[in-house]
Amino acid sequence: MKEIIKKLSDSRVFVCTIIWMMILVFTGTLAQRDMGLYYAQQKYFSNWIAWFGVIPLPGGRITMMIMFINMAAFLFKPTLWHMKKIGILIVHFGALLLLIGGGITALFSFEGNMVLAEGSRANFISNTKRSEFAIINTTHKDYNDIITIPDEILFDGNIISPEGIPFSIEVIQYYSNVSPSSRKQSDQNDAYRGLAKNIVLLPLDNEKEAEMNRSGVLFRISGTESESDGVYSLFLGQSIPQTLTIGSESFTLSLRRERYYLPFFIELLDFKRVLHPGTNIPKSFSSEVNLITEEIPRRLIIQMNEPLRHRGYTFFQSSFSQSSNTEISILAVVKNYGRLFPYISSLIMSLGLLIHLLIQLPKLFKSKRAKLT
Amino acid sequence: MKKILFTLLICCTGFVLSAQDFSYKDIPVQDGGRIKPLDTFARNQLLSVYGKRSLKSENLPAIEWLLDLLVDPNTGFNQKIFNIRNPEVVQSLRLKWDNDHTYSYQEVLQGLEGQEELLHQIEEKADEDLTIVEGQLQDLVLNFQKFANMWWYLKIIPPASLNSNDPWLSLLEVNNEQSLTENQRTLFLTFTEYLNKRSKNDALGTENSMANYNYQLNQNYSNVVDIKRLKFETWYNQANIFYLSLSFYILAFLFLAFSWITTPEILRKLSHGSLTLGLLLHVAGLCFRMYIMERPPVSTLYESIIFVSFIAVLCAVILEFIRKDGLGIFIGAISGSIFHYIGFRYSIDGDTLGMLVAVLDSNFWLATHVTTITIGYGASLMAGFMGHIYLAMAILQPNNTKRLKDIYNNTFGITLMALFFALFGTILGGIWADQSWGRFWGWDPKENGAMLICMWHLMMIHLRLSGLVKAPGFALGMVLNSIIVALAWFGVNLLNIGLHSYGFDSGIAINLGLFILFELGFGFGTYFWIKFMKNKNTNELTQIQ
Repeated sequence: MKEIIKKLSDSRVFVCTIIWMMILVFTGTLAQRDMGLYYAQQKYFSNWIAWFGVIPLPGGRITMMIMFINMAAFLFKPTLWHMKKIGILIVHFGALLLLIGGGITALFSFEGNMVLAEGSRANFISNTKRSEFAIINTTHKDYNDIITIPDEILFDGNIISPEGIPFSIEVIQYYSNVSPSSRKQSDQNDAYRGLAKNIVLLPLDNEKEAEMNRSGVLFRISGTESESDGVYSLFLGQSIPQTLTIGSESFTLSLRRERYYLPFFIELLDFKRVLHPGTNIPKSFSSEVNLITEEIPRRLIIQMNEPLRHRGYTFFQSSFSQSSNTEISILAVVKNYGRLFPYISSLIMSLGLLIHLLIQLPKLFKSKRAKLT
Repeated sequence: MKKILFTLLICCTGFVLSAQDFSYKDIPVQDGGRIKPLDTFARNQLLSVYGKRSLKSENLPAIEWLLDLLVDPNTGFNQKIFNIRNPEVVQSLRLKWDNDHTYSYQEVLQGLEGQEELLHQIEEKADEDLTIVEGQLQDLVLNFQKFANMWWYLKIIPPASLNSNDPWLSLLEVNNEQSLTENQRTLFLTFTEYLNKRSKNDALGTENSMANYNYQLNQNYSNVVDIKRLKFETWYNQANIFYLSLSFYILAFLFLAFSWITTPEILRKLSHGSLTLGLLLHVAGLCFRMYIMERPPVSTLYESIIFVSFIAVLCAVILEFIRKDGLGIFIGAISGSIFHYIGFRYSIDGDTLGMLVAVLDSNFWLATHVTTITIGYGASLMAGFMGHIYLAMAILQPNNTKRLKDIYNNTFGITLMALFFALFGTILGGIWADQSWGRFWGWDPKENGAMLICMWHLMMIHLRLSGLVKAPGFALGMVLNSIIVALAWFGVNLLNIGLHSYGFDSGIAINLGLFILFELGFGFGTYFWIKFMKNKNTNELTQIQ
């Protein structure tokens, strides 16, 4: 047992992992220039394996896992439990907490945004990096039945036939980024239905900023036993939705940002942007909102450095867009269970380092007068 | 302690200033999002066209240049103030390339005539497609337009609403006097009266009109302008405090150099005093800026340089206080001077007292995160400096083991402190990010840079702990650490991505590259030399045996 702990807690293991981590961080940061922050992060840091060309090497997660085990084993070393080393002990304990918090955040946190025009309300968050295929049954006047298919399942050739839907969907091709343009006459085909008749989706490379991607899908509907069978296409941000009428039922199909519903509404009353007088440098952004729970509104202001925290969700003023007649405020929304870890661990680590410094520094700066000759 | 010093400084200078009369230099102007004295406005205008804060050819301070231009535009239009450094640009303007390569408004105006198509073509191009000449031509046109429209930017009439967030009126906007309130009109007329008297060289008249101006500001606009602060800023502009602190650092170095030659102790003490005096002036400069802008010491790249410089010299003064052998002075004087020099280079880029974008406009986080991380940079660079000294000493005096061990211990101590500030600052930054953007860590280049510094320190400390690295190796590690700091500090801006990208400059890339080459060369060169000498010595020993 002692041998195992000694091996696991060897400081050389730490040195190796931290050197590897530095290499990862350095390459990952440089890579951001070409591939954008999000994809570089996915490739190098938020990944178990980082591929350098064809060579698989440990990614950020494995590296930090090893670091964690190394540090955890270190705490079991009996030689550490001395008053003289109390500072070191505390620092390592804090660092462990920081890594635990990082792990929880990496695995369980949720990020998205909420786009609100003045006067409108919403009860869902959109994931700006993911899309979903929504089938909305609009037959009933009082309510809609919604079935969503996440983009992970929209791989080419997959046939999806959700329960309660009188047709099946065969994904012909899913694109993570497209540019819709008008279809040429020569390219026409009888199988095309709806938008696909006039529009062709041209695939593009992913944008550097993942949220700038416009995803698109080309798919075949079959099983309706009617004229509606055929090839359709959808893309993100399409202005006219695709509708289908099958027998007495009517459906709306759309490709939209993956949604996550909240147990409350947020209504934007007013968005304000203040500039430093006489310049174009923004001084502050703020959104005046109503937080509506069970139809009872409560007025709030969300602004830079002053987010709204409610039921585990945090709403931040993130961005805005202004058109001639309306202002749109974009709130970033985060749910993070590991939120408090950095706060606590940083306190602990700083305390530990401070204690260690106070013990060590007098020794290291002992005044020894040696004259320069 | 800092607070006491701060108030003391402000009180002293405030006392001196209150005795001084309100002058034309203190006339409040709204520019770049804040109210500043006319003196600052003039300096920034001249800086952007001419590249300097006073007109060297005529020995004219910026403020006099601006007012002369207002009084007598015809003379001003023939002053040579456009600084064109590229003969090709001069040729394309059909001008003659001469030795001082400065040209007047009239000359540039004639040169630009008939070139609309070329300029339009340049304007259409994306920035990265421009050749050097085209880029410079574009800059020149921008400067020219700025100069030609200067009176639009000279906003000296406070708004009728008396709300400090409302835009002021420029000289050209008040032409239609009917729309002005009574107070605005009187203020405007007083200003024109001043210009009138000035053109007639009527000393008494100008003095009177300025007294009148001051009276009206006090009477009607005391809640939008703070005259004391304006006077203070004008004074700060003229004081050139950082030039003063630099001269004391250089003086300290000279004293130290002489102390190596002759009577050491008294000269070393003088040198230490000079360094401390420079440091006090340095602190004063930082405090003055804080007072003028009402914000924490570090919020722009320029300020981070000045602040790192302060931290470095502070460490050095303390080190000298402990060691008393001149090493601290040596480090402090050199690093202080170098950083001052870099700072001056940066201040040429424009207004060093600019406003901040929304997310930075938070005094609490600027005060905590930015200040701590900058202290971390400063301390890391100090550790790097000590690393240089260790390696150099190990070559120059390899047998002075006690002294070498001393330096090694000091280096390690500073490294621990640097780690503390860098780590704490990085985590504080994460907490700020959590507060404003909702995530603690986003792998943004600047965040990664700060983390690299922390990791490098951690690596070195653990390498030393596990015995893999001895004193020379540790010193080498600290030398290389300077590269990491430089990359995190300046290099990140070259990537031009992420939330922290500000202050891009192509000149940085070259300087950064040179710095890295030098550090690599010095670090590894000295390190292997030491290794080589050691091996040789042991070999000789074995041969003797």
